[in-house]
Amino acid sequence: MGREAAGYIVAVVILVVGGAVFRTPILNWISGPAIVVVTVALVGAWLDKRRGPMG
Amino acid sequence: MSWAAHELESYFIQKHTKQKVSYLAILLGGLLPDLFTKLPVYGLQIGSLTLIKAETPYKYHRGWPGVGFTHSLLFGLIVALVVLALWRNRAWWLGLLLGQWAHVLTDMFDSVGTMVFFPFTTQHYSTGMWAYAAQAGRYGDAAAYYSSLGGVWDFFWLCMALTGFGVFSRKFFLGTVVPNDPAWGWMRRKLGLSDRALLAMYRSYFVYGACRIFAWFGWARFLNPERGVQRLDWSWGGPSWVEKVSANAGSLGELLANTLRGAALWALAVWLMWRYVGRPLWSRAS
Repeated sequence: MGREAAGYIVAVVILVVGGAVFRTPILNWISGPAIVVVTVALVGAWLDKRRGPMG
Repeated sequence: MSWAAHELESYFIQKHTKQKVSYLAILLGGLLPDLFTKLPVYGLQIGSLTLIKAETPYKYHRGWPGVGFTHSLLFGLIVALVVLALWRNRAWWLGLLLGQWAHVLTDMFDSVGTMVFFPFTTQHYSTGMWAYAAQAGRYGDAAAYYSSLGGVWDFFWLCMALTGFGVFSRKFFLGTVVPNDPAWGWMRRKLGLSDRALLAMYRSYFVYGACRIFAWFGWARFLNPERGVQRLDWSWGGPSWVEKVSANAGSLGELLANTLRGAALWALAVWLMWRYVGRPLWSRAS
């Protein structure tokens, strides 16, 4: 699985499950997109570190 | 109002605009009518207290007096011209205009609709596809919207955005979106953002918009404590269980007269603004 794809999958899970449970704090026009960007960046960086630059 | 359509429309509009256009401007234009006006519609909830809430949410949100002018076509043109004057960027001018106009036209589908030709007429235009229910509060509105054709409307725009799936590719982003808008290069240089982060920013409103549909629908159908009463109702103008508000239900003659006057004066104003303001600004811009 691509490193980016993993980040997007985690973001989708947070937004759909977290959004259904916590609603507005997650599903608003600022925090919703911010969760996507931060999750993709963090998961990507974590996978980069774990697999190495060529992994 | 539409809950996720405005975010999803921006990708569709970008794909089908044959001119050079800024994606960020389309998105901002699409969010603009509700950007600084939405808080008093639901009010600010602190514990059991509700603050800054409009007395009649639909009149405040879509009417006049109120901030309903933000949901008119002329407002989008004026904002786009101000931005063209300040930044001299045609791609931003076009993006803001298309995004804001898309918002105005999309919001015509609920039972209150929008004052399309304001200030030349305060006539609301509405198809009445689903019930406007902001007066029921944020969660009441969410339950009503995702129990009605409103949720179907969001899903339709998700499908429309997916028909142009290529716009989400890295190749399209780096080859079309970035060159069309100097803002991306500025973020790369000044904020030190990587291409991965920029691409995630670009895709973020699609992911958010799509997830928003499923999260709110899931809440409305499975977690909402009142789901036994607040049932799914895909009839036109539904759901039947919510108090539906509508604006100026005048006679057909009144509607035609208001439309003729509003559309004619609007067209004249647009022509004059373009002739004496827009065209000189356009020729100076790049």
